[in-house]
Amino acid sequence: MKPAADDARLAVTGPDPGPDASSSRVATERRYLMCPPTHFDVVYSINPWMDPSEPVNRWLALQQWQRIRDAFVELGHTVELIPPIPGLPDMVFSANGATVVDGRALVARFRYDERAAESAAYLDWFAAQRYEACQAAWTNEGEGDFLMAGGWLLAGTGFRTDRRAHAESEEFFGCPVVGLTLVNDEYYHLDTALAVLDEQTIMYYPAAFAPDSQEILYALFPDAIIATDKDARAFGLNAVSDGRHVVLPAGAAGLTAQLRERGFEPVEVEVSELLRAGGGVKCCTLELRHPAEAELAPPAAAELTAPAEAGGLSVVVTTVASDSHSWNLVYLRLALTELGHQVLNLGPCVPDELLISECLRVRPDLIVVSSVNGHGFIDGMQLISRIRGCQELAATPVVIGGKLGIAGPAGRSRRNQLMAAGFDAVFEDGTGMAAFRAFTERLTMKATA
Amino acid sequence: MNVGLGLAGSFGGFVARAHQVGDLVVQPRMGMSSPRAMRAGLLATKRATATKVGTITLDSYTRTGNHDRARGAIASGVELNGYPIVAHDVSTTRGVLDGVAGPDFPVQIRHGSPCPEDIFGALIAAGLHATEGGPVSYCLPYSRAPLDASVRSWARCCELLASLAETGVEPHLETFGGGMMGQLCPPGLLIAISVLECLFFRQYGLRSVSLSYAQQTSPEQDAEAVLALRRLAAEWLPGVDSHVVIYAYMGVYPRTAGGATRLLSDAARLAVKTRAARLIVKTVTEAYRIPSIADNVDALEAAAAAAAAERRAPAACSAADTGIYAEASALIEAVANLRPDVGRGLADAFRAGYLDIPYCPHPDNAGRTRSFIDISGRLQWSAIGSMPIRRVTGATGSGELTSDGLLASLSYVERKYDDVSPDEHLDIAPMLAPAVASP
Repeated sequence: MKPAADDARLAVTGPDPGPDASSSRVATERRYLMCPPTHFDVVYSINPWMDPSEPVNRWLALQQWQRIRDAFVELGHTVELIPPIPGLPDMVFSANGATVVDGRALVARFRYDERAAESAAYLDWFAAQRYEACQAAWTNEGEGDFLMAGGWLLAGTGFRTDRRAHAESEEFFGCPVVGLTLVNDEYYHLDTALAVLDEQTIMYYPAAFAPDSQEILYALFPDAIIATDKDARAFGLNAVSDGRHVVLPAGAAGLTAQLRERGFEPVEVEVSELLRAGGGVKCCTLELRHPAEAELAPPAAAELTAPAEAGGLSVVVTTVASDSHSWNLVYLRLALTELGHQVLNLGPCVPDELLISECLRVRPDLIVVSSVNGHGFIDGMQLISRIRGCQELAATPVVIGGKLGIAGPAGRSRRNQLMAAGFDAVFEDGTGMAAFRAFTERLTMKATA
Repeated sequence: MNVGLGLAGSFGGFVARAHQVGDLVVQPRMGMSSPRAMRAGLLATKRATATKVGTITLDSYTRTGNHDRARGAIASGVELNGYPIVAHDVSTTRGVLDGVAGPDFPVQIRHGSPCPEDIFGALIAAGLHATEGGPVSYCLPYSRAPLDASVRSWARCCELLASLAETGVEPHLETFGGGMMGQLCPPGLLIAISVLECLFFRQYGLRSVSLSYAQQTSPEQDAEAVLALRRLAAEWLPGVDSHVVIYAYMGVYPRTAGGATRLLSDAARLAVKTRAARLIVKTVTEAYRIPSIADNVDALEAAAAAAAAERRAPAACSAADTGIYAEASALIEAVANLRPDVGRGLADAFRAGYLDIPYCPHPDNAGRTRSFIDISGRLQWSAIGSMPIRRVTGATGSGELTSDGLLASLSYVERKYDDVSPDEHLDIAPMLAPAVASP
């Protein structure tokens, strides 16, 4: 199958990315799987965009799909094709067929019977291509609801993918899953409300998510590009990025402007006909992630510095930048001192930069972050990524505790997010000091062993 | 109290009129990030069965000057722990206040910022003229900003706020000095800082101020402290419209609804008994989370009811003089004698340890004082460092609490009001007395 590429001219918008952002974004070569819309139709309705009473223009759909494919090829990426099957009109949306990480494919189990037969086609294709592939046990609509960003697998639920599929994916791929709940049925898949631009950057439409998911997204990606209602309606978030070029549905003016401002090169393509089935650029594109050519050796765990004194640790006690409370810090300093540790109490409102520079100076055996103002979760997520991003502190034990959200203890999900982000332990309000003491004892024994 | 200023339509004037007819003004600490919720909160406050004023409490990002992060949070739909008045534009805030705030319902901005230029600018632009804080009280316990920088910033902010008087409404500024560290600061130092910060406000042109005092561990000691504060205000702030505001307990709060309500009622009784004019409430959910609008309204009405009951059947206010007035006077005089300029006097006083907040880890605080709760439940000094109050306090030790002792002290009020069994009180009591070394 070799569709002609000659008639398609890319609507590459904005050749001038601006004075300071032009060269900062780096594209990496990608491999995508697409399915031609040979049998595309709207004969049933499984999302609010689908209206079976209006006939589709299959020729126009094919033109639009072709432009997407050509855009990828012109940008230097490889596009593989899976043969379309008659009677499966939505198979053009290959993103929903599987999630592929490190050459391993977890094939979809569709929510609606109308699409169930697509799974077998994907299983066959992956087997023929010698991928390690298996079908998900729980309802799982592939990259429709699972997107890789910065070592996280962002996972949507609410309309299609079962929450239990999140745990299954975490186990299958061995990478941390961040569960996100969708609440607006126009944005029924994660990839209709959020796009990954590079390892650190996403763009998304907050109103498509439940409040706790909005909080998580803000904590993980404070610098995200935020889509307006209009951008989201234009399906502008159903986009594919190679780290520099972002192929997205035309009409999301707010997003293209912001992308350009941030040094990305938006490539707008018309998807009006595909959108009649609730699909855009991303829906037509499944990324095939292969193992990296040369596996990087994991960084050697930094040795713990010699204890402050026999049996004692050197501990930095601090809080997050926005938190002005100090009694928690005063108490922790006293309690840790009594246990024989040397404590530096940085006091309230410690900017991330100051904490890191102090830690680089004293090289503590343990960093204790205590926060009670309700911003501990979102600020803590940012703080730990900065600490872990600092090579010298990548392996320093860091724990966080206190009242971490404005609505009271949130249970395991918030704890898991914090742990996955790099904290070594989380002591939410109510956990008590015993667990914290036990943690420091274990650390002390390890340090003196 | 009314000294012939143009107090019509002002925060100070509203409180003064209520005080004249014997009503205690109650006020929440409410702050929500969404303009719609904030407006709903103000409207609910306005409808509460009480003599009340409104509050917009700001979020932590705004307090620390991180407006970009506040803006990012709003755009991302994340709820903050208060209203980001700088991140929201002026028209949004005016929309929140429109038809709500007015002479019959003054609204005060509460924040916690050592360098609040942006906040003052935003509240003035929104048409407001009452706020609170102070160069010491919003610097030492709550930030890492150098005290000098906070003093300079607050001087500019006071001048800016004071200039509103030209527009015909008398601006009002409340010192947060009575709430230093929230707990475990003996009353003499609290009321001294309250008076000193109001002297600072007056120096920079403000003519309507309030002096604060936060409820502590002993009702008798609290009553003595508030009466001393009123006496000191009369002596040190003649010609200024001033009133006393009580903060319901600011430390570790009772976890039971009954305990929380009793503690709030005691705060209301304290205010009525000592003729304080205003009370800032806490809610029954304080120990767990940021209170809801309904929690706040309940607290306002409970406090108003407790105040009314106290007025109907006043208990005798027996506040024996244990030296709080003398201690505070000594501290105020020491600072006033250091420099003619109150701001520089305050900075020098902390540098010299004349003022020294117990347990406060700020680099500009000497950190040589310590306090404890004695067997009768009163806050006492266990170490006074270089503070010039030796002749009042007599000899103290240099005792440092153990961590368990500190925790017991911090939770003293919680345990008392949650009615923990007497046995448990006995278990903890020995830890309350710090080890006292011979001087």
